[in-house]
Amino acid sequence: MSAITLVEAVNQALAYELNADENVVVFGEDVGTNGGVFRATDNLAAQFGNNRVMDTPLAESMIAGMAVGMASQGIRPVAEFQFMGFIYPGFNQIVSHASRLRNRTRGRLSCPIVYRAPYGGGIHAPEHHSESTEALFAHIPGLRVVIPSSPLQAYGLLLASIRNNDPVIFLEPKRIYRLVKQEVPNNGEALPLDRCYTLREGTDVTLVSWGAMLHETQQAAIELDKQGISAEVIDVATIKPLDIQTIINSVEKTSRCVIIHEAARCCGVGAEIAAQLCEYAFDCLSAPIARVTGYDTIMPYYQLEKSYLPSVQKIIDATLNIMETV
Amino acid sequence: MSTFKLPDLGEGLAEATVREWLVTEGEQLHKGQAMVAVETAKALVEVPSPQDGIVEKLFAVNDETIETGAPLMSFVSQEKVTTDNNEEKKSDSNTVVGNIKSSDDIITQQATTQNFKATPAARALARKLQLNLSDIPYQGTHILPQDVKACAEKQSIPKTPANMTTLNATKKAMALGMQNHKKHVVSASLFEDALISSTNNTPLTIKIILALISACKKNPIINSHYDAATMSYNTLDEINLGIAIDTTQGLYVPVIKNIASLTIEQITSQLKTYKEQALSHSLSADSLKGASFTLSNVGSIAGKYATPLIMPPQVAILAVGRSYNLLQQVNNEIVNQTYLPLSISFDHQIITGGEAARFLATMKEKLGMD
Amino acid sequence: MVHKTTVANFEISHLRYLNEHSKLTQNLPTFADDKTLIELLRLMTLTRELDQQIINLQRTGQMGTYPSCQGAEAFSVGIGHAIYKDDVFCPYYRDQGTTIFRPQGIMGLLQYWGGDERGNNIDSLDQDLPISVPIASQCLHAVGVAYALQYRKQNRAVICTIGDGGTSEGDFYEAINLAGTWKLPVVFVINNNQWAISVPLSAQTACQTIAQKAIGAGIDGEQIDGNDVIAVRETVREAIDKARSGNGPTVIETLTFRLSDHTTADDATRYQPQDVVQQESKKEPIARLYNYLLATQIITKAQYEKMSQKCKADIDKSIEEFLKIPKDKATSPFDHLYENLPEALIDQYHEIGATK
Repeated sequence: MSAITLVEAVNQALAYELNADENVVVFGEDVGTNGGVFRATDNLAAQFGNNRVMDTPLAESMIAGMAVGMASQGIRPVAEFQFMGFIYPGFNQIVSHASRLRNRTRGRLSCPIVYRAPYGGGIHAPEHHSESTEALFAHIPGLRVVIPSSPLQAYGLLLASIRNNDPVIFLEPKRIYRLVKQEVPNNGEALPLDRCYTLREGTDVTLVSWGAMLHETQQAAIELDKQGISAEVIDVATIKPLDIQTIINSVEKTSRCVIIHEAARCCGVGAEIAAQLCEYAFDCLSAPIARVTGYDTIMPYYQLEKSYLPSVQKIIDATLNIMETV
Repeated sequence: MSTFKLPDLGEGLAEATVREWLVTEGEQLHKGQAMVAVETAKALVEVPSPQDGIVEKLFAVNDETIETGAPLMSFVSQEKVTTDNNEEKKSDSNTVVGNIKSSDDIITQQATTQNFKATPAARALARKLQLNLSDIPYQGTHILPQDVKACAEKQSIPKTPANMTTLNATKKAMALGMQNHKKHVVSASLFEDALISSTNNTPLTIKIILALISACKKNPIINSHYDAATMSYNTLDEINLGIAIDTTQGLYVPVIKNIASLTIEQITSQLKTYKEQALSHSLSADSLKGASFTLSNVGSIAGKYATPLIMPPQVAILAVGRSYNLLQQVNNEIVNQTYLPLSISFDHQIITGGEAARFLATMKEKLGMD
Repeated sequence: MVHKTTVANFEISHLRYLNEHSKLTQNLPTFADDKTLIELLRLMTLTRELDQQIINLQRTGQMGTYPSCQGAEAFSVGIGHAIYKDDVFCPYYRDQGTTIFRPQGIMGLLQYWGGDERGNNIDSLDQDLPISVPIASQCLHAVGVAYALQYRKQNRAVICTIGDGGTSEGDFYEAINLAGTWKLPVVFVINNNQWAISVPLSAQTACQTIAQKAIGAGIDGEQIDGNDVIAVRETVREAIDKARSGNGPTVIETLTFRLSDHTTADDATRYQPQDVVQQESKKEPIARLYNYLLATQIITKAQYEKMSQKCKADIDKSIEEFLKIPKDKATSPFDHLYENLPEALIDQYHEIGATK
């Protein structure tokens, strides 16, 4: 078994599940013959047929809406939006229907759908291709929002998402699509959803993040360690429903928390985590909760991208800042 | 191929004539290198190469006039430029926009998850009420706030019915103390009347306290703390005497610490202070803690003997009744003698009847002394 | 003169059997025997009775906002009679006459408009989609369902309804486009009742017919007289059979007129010219069929009165039953939010459960 990248892990999971369950189908723009613009669906059409891995016309509302109809018939659609920036035409179908079909039919019909999209910035792309608006979906009752941070996570969480009987927005951090490799056994084992993952144990501060930013967060933890600060790193993984308990558990130990996300600050998921920590663990905190985020501006064109995204230094600075408050 | 068109050589000139090519097809150029001399209406101009590259094709010949914007020459495409070997094909960039950084770095990762048996609200409430999650019974999948509340309530008094008055804080403490006693103490009592010496002028309370101190020193087991759960005890070096003081609000038992080391004046003064504080409800919480033995004066109002209740971890308590006079025959004389009723309750889990009796005997002896 | 060749030609047909004067314009199709016609009349009468009574409930504060289907009886009953039991129905929201044939039924409708989600779960084996409020979104669900039927090689069809206004939505175009590209077993039936709330058809589209939008998707489109239940039943059944046999999708435009307010919260007198309403009501479907059956002595006045009374009694009973149903429990918004209640929602679940 050789080490594979995150996007290859996505491919591996899709292949596994297409093989295991004939109700699983994959569709989107360019996913068939071309194997997806990031090759996430590479070779799947050849393996499983054009009636199961399908190139759709260029219509995102259609992609989102037809998944609902398919799911009502017990098909398990894995629908791809080519970029998160193009999910918006499908937002209505996701929010008005996918999120609520089970509820409004009192369980008679449901939506075991996975809506996949590459998301996030830092790849020097044209505008609209670097969106990080997971908070929009996290706000919607009835949805799950899942963001893997490594090849192993991508494989296990995608399998779990496909097997889950409720709609999942599966956002793949494209900046780290190929940044690292990892050994991912193709054993069909899913990882738990609705749970945060502790990537690094520590005692002085809790660093919470998800997606590509964990790459910077882990680097910051290493640097902080050199300064004698032991950081615990938590990967949220399932943004919604949020496993606040793992974070509380950590903060009970460290009493300090820094939340890092590349998405814009205002009403980002960091705000929800901070609010819940105040609600349930105020007595455990010895310093205000810090957020290191993207700015409340439109994601800049790629020339200014670097100054927008949170950097390792910004994470370190924010942490040192709250370490001073005793 | 990438085509280079005749640029606007100045002020919107519509055309130019190629006078001389300075390069040939197949030649490698660098950016800025003079490529061709063209003549415009105004001047003879040398056009520089816009880039590094190999000349693929020249589109105009010498003396040919071409329009501004028309193709002038072309460069060989970048891919072909680098191709010297056959195996080089257009590599898959694996993206349709931007740059996805690739690397062969392999990571290993230990990622752990945990499960929880209480909801966040329940955990927060348990922390607030200082309850241990493992002590809280529950039925569903998780401990809920209502489970935490129920557990806390079991440890406290249920709601008062409408026609009843809830005990005030002091009496509540007493009630809880009594419940605690009932849970942990097995009490027995012994009664005695002690003859009080008539010649000694020390105030009776002091006499009693001094006798008590003697008795504790002589029978140290009485001045112990007992732990029923482990069936172990600790005999204390110091006598910390709890003095029961009755007020309208209820019973207070402030503690005179290390009373054996105090002078009579100090004891008297402390007693006075405590009495005042008890009546004004200004006793500090600290002054109510740490008793090793308790003295209760029941006789001040009415009462001869009593079965006072021991406050664990103490193992005994002495109740002193109202002293009384008795005419008695002593050496063929009728003498008025003053007696003090003593009632000692002792925790029979640790103290024997004999130990209690010996304690009383010591007290009797001391009280009867001049 | 520039020479061009014609590379494509299109035609949209219009069909009716029974005209507004209750006269046959051509031979009846084979299904339309006396018994069936009487049944169709009964069903349309039942639909109108249901409609009237629900409006009454709303006007007496016992029902929420409700969209009347007056004028759409032939459209909906025609579809209901044509659709097979194992077909899948993707309604918009003015399909009462179709729903009475389907598992959701009258009780489901009453509960749905009565503000109770249980109205969408009358029969757990029912595969129909519930009413779709976001306009035209059901069209995409319909093609998704159709794909599933096709994928599993089942000879079933999807019937999707939509209003004239709805066909302006992107979702409609995206749906018919996919239906054509993938040759899906779906029938789109457009209830062109000339009004999208207050916006008349003339302000909705430059198309001469709505059926011709099918041409833009490369599929068959036809127009029929939507007040002629016979034409509706015949055309829709034909299209369903075509879809079920793998011969692809159809768009059917039924021409009707909305003889009611858009919903009980609307006042159509503000924008529908009353003289037009008067004229159009003369073309309405129930009287049209009744007068034909009367004239041809297939039914008598007394028989129809008896039939109407029975319809009223049936609806009375349903409504009585509906009004007795107690509210669902306070925690029900959590019960089917996800398959299993996530840990993150347990506290909230107990909080709402404690509210009286």
